[in-house]
Amino acid sequence: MLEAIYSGLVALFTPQAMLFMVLGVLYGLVIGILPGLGGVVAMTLLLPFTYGHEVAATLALLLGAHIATLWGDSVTSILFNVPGSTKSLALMFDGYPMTVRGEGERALGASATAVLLGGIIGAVFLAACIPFVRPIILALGPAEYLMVSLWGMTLIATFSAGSLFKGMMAAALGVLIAFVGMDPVTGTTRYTFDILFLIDGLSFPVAMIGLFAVAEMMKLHLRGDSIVSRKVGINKSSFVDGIRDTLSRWSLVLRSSVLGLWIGVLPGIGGSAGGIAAYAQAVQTSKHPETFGKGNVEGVIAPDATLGANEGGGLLPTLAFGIPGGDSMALLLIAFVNMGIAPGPQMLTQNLNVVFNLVWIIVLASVLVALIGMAISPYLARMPTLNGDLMVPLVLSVCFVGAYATRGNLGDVLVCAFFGGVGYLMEKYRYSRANLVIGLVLATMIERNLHVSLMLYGPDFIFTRPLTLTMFLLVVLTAVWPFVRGRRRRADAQAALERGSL
Amino acid sequence: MSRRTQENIVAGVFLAVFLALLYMTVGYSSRARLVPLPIAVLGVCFAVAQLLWQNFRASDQLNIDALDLIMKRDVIAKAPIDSDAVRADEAQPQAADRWRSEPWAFGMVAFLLALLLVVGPLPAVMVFTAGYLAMSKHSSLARAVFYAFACAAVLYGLFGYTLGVQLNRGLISGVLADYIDF
Repeated sequence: MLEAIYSGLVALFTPQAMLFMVLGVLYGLVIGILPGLGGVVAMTLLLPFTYGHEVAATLALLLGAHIATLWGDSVTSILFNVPGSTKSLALMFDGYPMTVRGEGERALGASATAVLLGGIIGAVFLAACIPFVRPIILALGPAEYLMVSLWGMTLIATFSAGSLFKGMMAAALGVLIAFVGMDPVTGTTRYTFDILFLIDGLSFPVAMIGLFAVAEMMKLHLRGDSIVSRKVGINKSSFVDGIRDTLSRWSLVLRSSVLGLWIGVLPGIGGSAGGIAAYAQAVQTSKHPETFGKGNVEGVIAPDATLGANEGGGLLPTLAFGIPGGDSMALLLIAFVNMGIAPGPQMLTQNLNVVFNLVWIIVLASVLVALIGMAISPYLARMPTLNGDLMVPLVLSVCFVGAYATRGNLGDVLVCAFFGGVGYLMEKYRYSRANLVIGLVLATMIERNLHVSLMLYGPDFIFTRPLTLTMFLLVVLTAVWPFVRGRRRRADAQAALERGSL
Repeated sequence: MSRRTQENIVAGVFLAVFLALLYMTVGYSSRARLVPLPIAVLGVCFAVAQLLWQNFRASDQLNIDALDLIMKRDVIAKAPIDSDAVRADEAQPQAADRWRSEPWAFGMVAFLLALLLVVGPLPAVMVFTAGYLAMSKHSSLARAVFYAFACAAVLYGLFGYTLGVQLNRGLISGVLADYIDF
């Protein structure tokens, strides 16, 4: 084992492996920053380069690029409210308000540190748990995945604060929009109006770009100021503040990382649900849940730690059973096949050095991303202070071209513009855009797992599976908890008031 | 138009959308409508509740939340209308510059969309960027054109060259391609 750990590290210190890792990380950062494109695109475009190189170098290129996209995605979500990919959705809820408040650099620092720590925790977990995790993975099924998705839905209550009915309407609309296209279970085309383009469904990243980025540019056009108002200034915080924030909230990082690992281990859940679930967990465990959505740094730390750890978790079923933990892991699986490596139980015996090679790549790539982040954050954080009249055409152009580039279809540009208008009106009339996107992202997962659970376990599956029942009770508890806590706080405040008046 | 009327129009549109989706959902098989049907019904209920909620309250209480009432929060203390949207709404009629008006904001998005569909992404970006910078008086025309070319070049480098995305596809290029065979 120790020899495998050592040889896994040494394999990365060849000139080719080091060069490939640096190139992969830089490339991943650029792809991540481009709106709508995430780790899957980055890895897909690199697949042709997986032939004829050292195994360690090839894996460093692929996984390094993928790890870097995590922070790249976060950058645009935090600075411009432009989601780099669906994974980074939760980063916009508090990251962007921090930027508007002049704390963009702090948010970037917190984000990079959280990705780094999450990545390290994920890698360590991957190394430590390989021998023990098989029964856990096999014990979990679609019913449990359904509960994870429902847990993400409990966030809707948080974002409905200020307007309950409007929040619920937005979430319901998001869920229904997610069903546009061919139903994978029954083959029925739903809400397509016989338009061929809609049979594939709406691209979630494109809808998010419209809802948030295009709408934000419309607001900026009306305001005529920069994203960070000149009155606010940008020197309110630094990257180091963000690092300090993350390190001082180590328990949040640990909790979020463990959640990310768990979600990564479950095949098919993916980072999008993971980020939302992490955010939900941060809100529910925070001492100041009312500050979420207004620029609470914990809302940046939790999703990024989860996304960082998600990679280690996702590698586990990929390596141990050949079952990809998500889209990006499926691509890694293809790369393994290209390199003549067969994932499966033998990975843990014959190719243990490759496993530890991957562990080290996650750690080193995360460190590299954090270092690069530290170097470029001061410059990135200045971008939102650019004149609004310059920002609007540039960001709108990037958004529209990004929307087009996601599938190379002009129809996506139409969708982007449509959701831009919808997003602007929703913001103006206080219908939560966050709720709409949460519904959009989680709906298909809920529907798919509900169908499979009903088929496998029958209509009363919640009560026949103890683990599902436990998780269901947890979901109910976390949904009700904000209301209970609110009542308790008011009762305490009332009691304190009465004591004071006596 | 009063704030209440605007709110009613928006809630009405939501209700119409939910009703339309509900109508369509009823036509699907029982398995295909397993999740959408209850959600559409809930959507209709929420939209009706919102419409009732905002029409049976005084105008100055339009922003009081149902959640506040359910949780028995101090609703009067929270009543002040302080959202950005309302402030923007009130400020707009006073704005001297028409350029900063909502129709222009929607118009610019529509214009960029139309350009993109007709001439393709890259030419659209150049025309839109140069036009916006010149019209907003941010830059002189020459400088606006320079910025537009720079922006288009960067986008081409990132999307066209690196990712291999075709950035000259538009309705015109499609028609031209048929005639010129390029």
